[in-house]
Amino acid sequence: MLKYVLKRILYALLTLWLLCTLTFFMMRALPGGPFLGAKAVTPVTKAALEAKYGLDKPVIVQYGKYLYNTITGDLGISITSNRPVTTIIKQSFPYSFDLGMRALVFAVVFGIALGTIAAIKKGTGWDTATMLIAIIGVSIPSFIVGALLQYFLSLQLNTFLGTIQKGMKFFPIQGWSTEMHKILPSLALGLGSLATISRLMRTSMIDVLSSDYIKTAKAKGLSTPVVTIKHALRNAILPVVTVLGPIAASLLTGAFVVEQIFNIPGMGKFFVNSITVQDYTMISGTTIFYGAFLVFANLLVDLCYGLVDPRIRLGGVKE
Amino acid sequence: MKKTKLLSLVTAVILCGSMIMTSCGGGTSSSSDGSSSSDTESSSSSSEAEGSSSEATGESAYPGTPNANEVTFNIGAEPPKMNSILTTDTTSFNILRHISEGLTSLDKEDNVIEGAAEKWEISDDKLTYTFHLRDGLTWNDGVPVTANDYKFAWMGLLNPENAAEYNYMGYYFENGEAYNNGKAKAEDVGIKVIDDKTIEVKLSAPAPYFLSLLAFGSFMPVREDSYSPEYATEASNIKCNGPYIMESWNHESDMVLVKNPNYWDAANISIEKITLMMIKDSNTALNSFKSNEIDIITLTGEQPAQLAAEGEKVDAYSDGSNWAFAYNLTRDATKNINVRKALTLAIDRERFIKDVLKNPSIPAYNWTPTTLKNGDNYFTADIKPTFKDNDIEGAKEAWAKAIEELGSTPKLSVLCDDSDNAKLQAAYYQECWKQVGIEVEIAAVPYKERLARQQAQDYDIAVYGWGPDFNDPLTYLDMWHSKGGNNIIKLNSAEYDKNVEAARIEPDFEKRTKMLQALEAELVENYYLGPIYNRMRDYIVSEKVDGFLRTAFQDWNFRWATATAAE
Repeated sequence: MLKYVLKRILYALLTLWLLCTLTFFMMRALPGGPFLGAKAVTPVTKAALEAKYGLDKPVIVQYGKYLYNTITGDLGISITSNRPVTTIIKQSFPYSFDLGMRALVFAVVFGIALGTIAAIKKGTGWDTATMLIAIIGVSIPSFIVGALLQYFLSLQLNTFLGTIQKGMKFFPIQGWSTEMHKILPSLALGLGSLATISRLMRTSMIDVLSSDYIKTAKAKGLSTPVVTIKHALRNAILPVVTVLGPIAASLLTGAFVVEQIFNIPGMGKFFVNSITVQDYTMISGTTIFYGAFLVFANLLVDLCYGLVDPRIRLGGVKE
Repeated sequence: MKKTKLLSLVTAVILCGSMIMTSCGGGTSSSSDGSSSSDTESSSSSSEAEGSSSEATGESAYPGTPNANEVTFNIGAEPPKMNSILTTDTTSFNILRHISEGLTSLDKEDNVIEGAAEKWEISDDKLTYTFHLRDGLTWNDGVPVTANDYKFAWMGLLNPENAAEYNYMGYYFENGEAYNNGKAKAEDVGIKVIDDKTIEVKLSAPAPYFLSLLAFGSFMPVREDSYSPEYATEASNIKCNGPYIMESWNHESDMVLVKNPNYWDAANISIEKITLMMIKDSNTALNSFKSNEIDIITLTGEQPAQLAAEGEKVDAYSDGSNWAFAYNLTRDATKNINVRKALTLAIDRERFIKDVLKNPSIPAYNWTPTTLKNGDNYFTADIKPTFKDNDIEGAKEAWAKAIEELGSTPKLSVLCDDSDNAKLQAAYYQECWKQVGIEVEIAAVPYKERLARQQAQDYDIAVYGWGPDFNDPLTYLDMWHSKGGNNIIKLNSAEYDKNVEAARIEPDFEKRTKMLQALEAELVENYYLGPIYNRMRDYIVSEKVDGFLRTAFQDWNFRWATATAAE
């Protein structure tokens, strides 16, 4: 077990090093550079700017310094905002994390519930309705879901409530200050994953429900809820756990569009905008942070397998 | 089988519905202009043209946010740098106008008025200015504002260690450029503090617009004892001497400005609290406006037309920028005057503004926009257009001549941004050119790549926008000097250079005007640039707000605004 964990950690570090290196050289290959603006700066100013951010040194020196700083946790100063990258991440990531976790909980709870219902009531209207939600969730991207939710459940509903009583509101259009602010963005972000989970759950549940041990349990006279929850769920949930790592990662890091629609000051926009403006320190900072986060999430999921399914022994078969 | 059919039917309906929603602007949206807003990076000093500035009168049916004397305004983006020495972007300058005050200030018509200085003397040679500060000026923490606070900020622009991108703003001071390039000492720069309330400035050349320049963000005071590399990165480490104080700054979300009780003119400031929202998505901004969460938003794309159809009053103002085709003079095809002429004449500007921009932007026949003043008059007011809009015959004729002179039909491409709006606009130009038989490819590239290709002359035609630095035609004209860093067309004309150099130092108004007119004429008559339009921007204001000002040199200003409680 320990050997396995160590090996995984080593691979994780190797992945991160590759990521750092690729990011470093790829962003320098972009045409333009951080100091190219609509109004040109003089060559003297450009030289001064490059010196200020250490870009005047040979690339290999810059690379060495960059690796050293990254290892020691110094991600540098953002070129566009003049603020430390770590401060920006510290300020913005909690928003993304909060949003992502809410979306994840929503997706997992409802995804598993819907998938289970669909499997038990296979072939009925329940099944059709559930799978309809799943197809909608998978096929409509989150920015459309977000815009639709904002338009109907916020703007139209508020306008309607306003006619009943002046100033009456339910869901605010944008922002992230109260609990009411957080509902629509979480739904918009989580719907896609909910669909994936419920479909997986349905397939896996149908599979498990037709296996012998369930038949045995039923033959023993156990009630359907007991059979489903106590016996079937634990096995049926395994495929869901497998995709949970990637889903969690994508929800926690891929909320750029939803954050933009609902004006949430999360990390998504830094990840995207820093590339547009070629803010080198910000690009590498966010990439490394996300990279480390993803690697860590995957590692965690791998280790979790062993807890959910005792048949999986991470260290391999013991002699 | 039936169920599958039903399922697919319902799904299809929902998908179609969602596609319609997005095409109505349900998805993410960007700014309506041809390129990103950072393209026209700055604006400063004095003037207004007919219909160019706008003061909101609040006739909207939407009541706005509830409280009296409080407004909420969407600025659309996080101000990247609030440090006045280092910043270069419009959003930051707009906020700086509210929280700090230069020696001079601008009135509602962009004319120079007294700011922190109550009076000044100008020497006969127009090279020495002596400013006297008002009595009792203080920073928001009660510390007195002194002449040294201005000197420190201006020297900060020039200090090579700071690597300030707008350092050239300090080149107006005697020896400013030399000090910035390490060729003179700090003591040699023509900024002298006489006493706490008096500052004397020596210029390297007479600049008739110098007083208006001092109202620009780069010349705002900074207190030496509060300065550090982290200065102005949070609300807690910025000092304010303007009508407002930055109370909070929730990065990438919102910023709150409250009235500064110590401001010398506080009695005439009506709005107590300004909440600035940083909503990027224009559709979200509109929904927030309609939900009365926001009082003022800038409109893009189809929004003005939609709101007008709903019976709303939409306001518009000129942002002082001009858009034109920049022709690469190092390429064989665009080196030919008839190629440039044909491309310029073929465009139907009126229709472009009506059908593509869908706002009151002004068709342009000059490189300098109509909003810029020369002295008391609008510079382009007396200049007759040298070409006609939508001159198909003229364009065809010029194109035929061009082919004859070149010996073959040249292959051309037009460089633009890869935003939806920029591509749409380029497609319109392409269609206009096609009408006269000119085939032009569209090269839509990311913002930075476009800048890089412009700088490297790696293009034939570029859709090019420029915003003014100060209110004088020179801000549009001296950039095409053969040594100018922004001379992307690589104009290399001895006559032009001579006129630029002369205009920069000419103290006589009449002579200087002649030189500026000669510069403008050389650019347009030779079709070095193909003017398209002076940009206007649309915005909407809720019922409760009055007197909100937008001009070419004050992108937004709440100084004269009032707000009642929403009804």
